[in-house]
Amino acid sequence: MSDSVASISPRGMTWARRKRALARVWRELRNDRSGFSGLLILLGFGLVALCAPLIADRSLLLAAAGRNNPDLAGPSAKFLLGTDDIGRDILAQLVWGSRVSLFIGIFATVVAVLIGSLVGLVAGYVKGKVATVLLAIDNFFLVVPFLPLAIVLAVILGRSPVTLALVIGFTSWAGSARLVRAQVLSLSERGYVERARALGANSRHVILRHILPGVAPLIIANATLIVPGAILTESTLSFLGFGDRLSPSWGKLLDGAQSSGSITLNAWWYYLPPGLCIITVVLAFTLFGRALERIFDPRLAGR
Amino acid sequence: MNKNLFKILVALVVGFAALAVSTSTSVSAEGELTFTVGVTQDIDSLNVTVGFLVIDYEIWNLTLPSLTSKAASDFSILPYMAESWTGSEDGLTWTYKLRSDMKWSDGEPMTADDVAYTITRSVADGWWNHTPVTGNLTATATDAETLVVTSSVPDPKLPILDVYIVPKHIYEKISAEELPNYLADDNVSGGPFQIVERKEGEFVRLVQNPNWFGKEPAIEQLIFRTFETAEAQYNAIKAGDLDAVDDVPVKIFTSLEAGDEPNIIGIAGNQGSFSYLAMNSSCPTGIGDGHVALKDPNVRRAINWSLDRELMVDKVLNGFGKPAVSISASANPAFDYQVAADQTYSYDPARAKALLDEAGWKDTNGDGVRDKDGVELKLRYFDRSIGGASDTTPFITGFLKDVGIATDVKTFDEDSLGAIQAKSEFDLYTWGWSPYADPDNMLSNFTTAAVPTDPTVGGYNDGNWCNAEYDALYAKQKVELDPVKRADMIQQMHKIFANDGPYAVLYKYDNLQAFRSDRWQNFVRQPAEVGPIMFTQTSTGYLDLEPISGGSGGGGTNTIVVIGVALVVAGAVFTLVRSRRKKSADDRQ
Repeated sequence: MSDSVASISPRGMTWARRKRALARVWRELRNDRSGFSGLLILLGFGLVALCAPLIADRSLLLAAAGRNNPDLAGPSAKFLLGTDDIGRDILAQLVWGSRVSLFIGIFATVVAVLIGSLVGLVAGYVKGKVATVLLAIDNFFLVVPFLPLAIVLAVILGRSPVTLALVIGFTSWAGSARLVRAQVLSLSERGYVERARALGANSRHVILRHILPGVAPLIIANATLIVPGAILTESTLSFLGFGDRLSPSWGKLLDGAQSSGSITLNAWWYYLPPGLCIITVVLAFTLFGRALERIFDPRLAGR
Repeated sequence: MNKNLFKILVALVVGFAALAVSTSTSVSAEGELTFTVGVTQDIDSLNVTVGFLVIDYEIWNLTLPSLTSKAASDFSILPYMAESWTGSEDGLTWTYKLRSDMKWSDGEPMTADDVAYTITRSVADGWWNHTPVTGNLTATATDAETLVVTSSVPDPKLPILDVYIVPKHIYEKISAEELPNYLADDNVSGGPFQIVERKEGEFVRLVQNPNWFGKEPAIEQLIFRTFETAEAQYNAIKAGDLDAVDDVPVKIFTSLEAGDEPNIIGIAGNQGSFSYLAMNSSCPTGIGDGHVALKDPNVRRAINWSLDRELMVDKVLNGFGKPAVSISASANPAFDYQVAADQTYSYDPARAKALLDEAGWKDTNGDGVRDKDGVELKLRYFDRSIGGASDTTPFITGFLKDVGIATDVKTFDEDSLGAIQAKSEFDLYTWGWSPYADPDNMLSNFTTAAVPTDPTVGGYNDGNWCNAEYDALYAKQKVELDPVKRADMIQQMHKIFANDGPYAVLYKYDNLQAFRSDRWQNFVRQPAEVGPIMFTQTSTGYLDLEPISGGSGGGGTNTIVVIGVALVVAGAVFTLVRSRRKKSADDRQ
């Protein structure tokens, strides 16, 4: 018995601890009905996005693809979700649109969380003038009207999916910076961090080994909650005509439906599916994110 | 007791509501005969030396007179301020006899002096809405009713003189420096209507000009209401809030044509407006940084052959337009390029590829994009965020890709794209033109003189193209007084433009307008049979419109209102009577 204990290295111990923690998270998630169903829905959409080329050929997205098709035709055996105003299959656009919408949602979130965590960590750990300046910038981004700023940036920087994701990420990091800073402030005062310092650990070691692991779960939960906002922003920008008009995102489908008058013409198959997809994915991310939050921060459990 | 009081109160409220409904309907029935138009554009400026939007011209057509007018049918000359005119033998001098009974809306007399003043000042100050017509003219008023106009060169446009005449007694008080800031908000009118109220971004309201000397319109009050989207505006006419709309979404217009709305008539009118893809041809005297490939006329021809214009007319316009390979020189289709379909561009990607091969653009590195001497055939493609032309972008980029031309699409608002054009810093871009009645103005846009050479000034030659043969023909037609010879020269210019020019013209598109046919009749098109009713060269359609008196359609909505009011009143009476009865029953006890 004592042999086996001795044979486990410190690194192995850490891994074993992490494995146990992960197993606990998984167990709690399984028991959290809403969070787990959110996860399942997300996996479903992720699968569709990954398998898009298998479901619908990319050439169906070309403007000329509707050449011999009826325009604004209702659902039929040939077109399960009907056709748009220039005769293209809506299902194909919906499937490929999931790629654009999910990509922009996730990539924008990565950008926002990276900026937010960095600013939050520095502002929380390094006090003094640097923190004051960072907090001022953070406050600026918190109060500045978000949509006009995103529109201005989108117009200046161009409208490819990558630049749109950067724009959305760049305008939505302020909240997570606040959150991370608060957690860092609280962690820095904890006994184990002080003990590490007393034992001679430098700032780098303290941040990477003690503080970052402490805020990581919070960052992950927060990120899951930023994604739906980013997807909604992309849809809003596309709907307002500031998106990438050549990529088939859900917001662009809604824009096309609106500008072609499909609401007046009762062509529900044009605007309902993308709308429902946006709502479902946003809801799923929110459910999943809230569940993660509850698991990582047990204080929220009773709420 | 309290309950009864409550019921009486309810009955009173309902009764008042019914009264309010009935009075509001009676006001609109007895008030001025109003014609409300929905538009998706807001007035840019009422100042005739500044504004340039279609809605501005519509207001000027209704509030500013001109010396002569144009027939709705074929744009031939008609009297307006001038009753008659005679030309000298050399055709350089024209003497106009003006009406003697004209007054501005503020009561000041309107005379030959106003016309002479407008022509002289427009040349001196360079008013850009006037100089294309007045640039070579001098005018003197020999008396209040006689105007002598002299041209420095033979001018085929004369004796038509259709520039907006401004009131001298207002304009002479404004210096050339102040003029660009003048808001024209004194609302002095010399046309059939005068502005009485304007809310920026919302509406402009006009009433009949009491001193108007022409045909009296049936419309007593004319309102232009601005809407955010074409669909919102269509729903307003459907609900009966508007009498007419300009710009109906194509799919909805198709459903109108199918007779889905019995009370609304759709009119697809063509007055030569067209969409095009401009290709930066890098004229040596110009500026800019156009792609080297586009200097070669064969590459420009290849792009013309690669486009499926029929498909775009079918899908983007839903058939409300016609494929075109050259500009519309005039709103009058007689000046269009007359060429047999098999003698000009059609959808032929194989031919486009052959032309590109011939020009030396081949895909040597196998990336799907043609190249030559290490330069990729990848073109910057700029389009507008608004307007029908942007709907063609996905089509055009697809056609170009099919023949091995890559594009990098960027979308701009109108102002930014205009600034880029003034610098000629683009490869391809899409826009549209609407021509005047006389072809001279449109043809002048493609002369070497119109090539932008200074970004702060710009120039209308947005293909950055020059051709000496075209320039020579332009100068010749400008002074050719024989209409047959002039028309022939214009056809030669079309041929050069289509074969060598900087445009891939896509199509001529219709203006899609809708009217309440249950309230109005006598829709007169301009030009005859093919044109629209509103937003035309002279906007005389409003003078021809007649209300349908006691029409069945209008009566229909009134009947509904009457039935509604009757129901509300009956409900109120019923409530009152019931509460009375109950009260008396209580009393009996």
